[in-house]
Amino acid sequence: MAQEASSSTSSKTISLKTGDGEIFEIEASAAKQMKTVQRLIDDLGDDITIPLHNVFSKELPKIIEYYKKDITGEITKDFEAEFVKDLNDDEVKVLFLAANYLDANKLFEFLSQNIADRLESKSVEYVRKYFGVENDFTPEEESKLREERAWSFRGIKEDE
Amino acid sequence: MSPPSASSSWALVPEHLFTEFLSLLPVKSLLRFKCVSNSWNTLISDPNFVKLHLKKSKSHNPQFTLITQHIKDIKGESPYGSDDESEVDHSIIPYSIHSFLDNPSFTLFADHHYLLNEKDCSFVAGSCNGLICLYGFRFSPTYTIHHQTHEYWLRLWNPATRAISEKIGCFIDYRDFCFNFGCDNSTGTFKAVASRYIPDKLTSDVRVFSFDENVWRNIQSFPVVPFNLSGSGEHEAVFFNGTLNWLAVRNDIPYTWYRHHPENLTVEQFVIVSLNLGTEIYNMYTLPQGFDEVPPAEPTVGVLGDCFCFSYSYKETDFIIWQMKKFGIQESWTQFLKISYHDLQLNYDFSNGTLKYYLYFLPLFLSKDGDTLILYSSQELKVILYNWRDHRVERTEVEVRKTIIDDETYNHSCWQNANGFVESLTSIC
Repeated sequence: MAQEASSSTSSKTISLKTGDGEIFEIEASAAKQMKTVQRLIDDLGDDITIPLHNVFSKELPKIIEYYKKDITGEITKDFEAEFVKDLNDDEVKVLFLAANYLDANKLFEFLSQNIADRLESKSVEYVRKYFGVENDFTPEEESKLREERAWSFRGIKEDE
Repeated sequence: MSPPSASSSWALVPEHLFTEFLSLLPVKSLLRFKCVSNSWNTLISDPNFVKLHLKKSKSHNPQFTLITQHIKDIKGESPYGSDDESEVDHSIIPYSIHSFLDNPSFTLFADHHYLLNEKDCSFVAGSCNGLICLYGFRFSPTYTIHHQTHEYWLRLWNPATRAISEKIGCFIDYRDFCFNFGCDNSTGTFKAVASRYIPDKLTSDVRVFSFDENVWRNIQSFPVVPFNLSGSGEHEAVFFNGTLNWLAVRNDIPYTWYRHHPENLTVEQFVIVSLNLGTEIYNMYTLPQGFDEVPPAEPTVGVLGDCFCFSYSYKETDFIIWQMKKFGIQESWTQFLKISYHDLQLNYDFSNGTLKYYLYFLPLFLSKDGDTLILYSSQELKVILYNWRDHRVERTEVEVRKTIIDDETYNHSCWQNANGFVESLTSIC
């Protein structure tokens, strides 16, 4: 669809190309919220397809969906709850890292809170698995640490 | 290039990204996650992480401490009740302001780790950056018969991590010391202040305890003696921005509201005495120009929405709150709210003319959006939620019980001692 020559930036769209070669459109005003994208636009111009090597076709549409709502001022608690409802912990992880790469602050803060919410009642074992962290305590060290704060181990979720 | 697999991508992620979400976790989770690995233990214990977590805790999860008193009558053997005793205990319970606003009527059971008698402490001096300073005392038989002395001590407690210090800052002296607590903003050093009025000399004894140096140091007396310091009344100081602040009245002898007739007072006599905990030097601030009539009941100072505030009842009709928008700058006093009693849906009986002298309101907290005020009414002994934009009033019913079984303990909430609080990992040493 042809753009009018005198249209404001907000009705212009930018093309983004994911690391796996797919192209997505986004409003220029939404692109502005992602500082990495905006920097690339500033360097390469807004007529070129902006390459995003570290973001893929699985997550970019979700990010675009968030910012579409953001520019119309429609981000509510309900929307945010719905947004993450069906995402599993790995999918949230991927979005979080993508939001960081894109320097998309609002989404990044929202996802940080969501990850914290997901981790809050998890067990130590779950956290190790989720982050790929090795337990480098000796059994004596670990049991001492656990004993010192035994109360903090109560009321945690069973691992899935 | 295929998308990187989820768990492997974390291994390459820099630590500062972990702290973004870890610093949003509650203390209980973080203490547990210290057991994940050595590097997690180091990260969570790192003072910079503790600072970041504190900062986020202040903005995301503002809390308050609810102080409650539990009195249990213990019947003695005499049928005349002559050896009946009362066991008094207090608990200090941190509670989320957001949760309170969402659901303002509830029953809380005071977990034993919130109880003061177990800690051998009597009451709270204050709280700051997630630490609560408790004090205790007991009668100390002394070598002179001329005065009663007490042995005093302090304990520093973090209710979120459940760490508590030994008894520190012990000293023996006269019995009417009052305690306050705060921290030096520039260094973060925690300090306690102990003060007492000396009637014979018409002056006050003020000393400061630095938790870093572990010593008490005498400082200058109050330039003007704060309200109620000479009585047995509550002597609350307001900690704000590295200073402790008291309302005071310039007078030959210290002013105690209930003892002295307010009609002899003028507004010019009122002043705020402010002690900078860094320099340990006093400043004095005058009250707003618009404060032009001595209120019937005692005015109060406090903190509301990140501003130092001053409030009082106006005649028998309104309650007024001023904020010092820029602390220390006289000209920045701004009237924040003038709430009519009518708006609060009060049906108090003012007809006998004496209620106005006893009725006071305490503005406790503001909601994050600043629209809802949490206000304590001394007449109802209850907290009222007042949304000043919509003029909506909600009365709350908060009950705190010491135990789940009804063991005939009389429990009541001391809302006049409620203070802002924040959950933190701050170490007690």
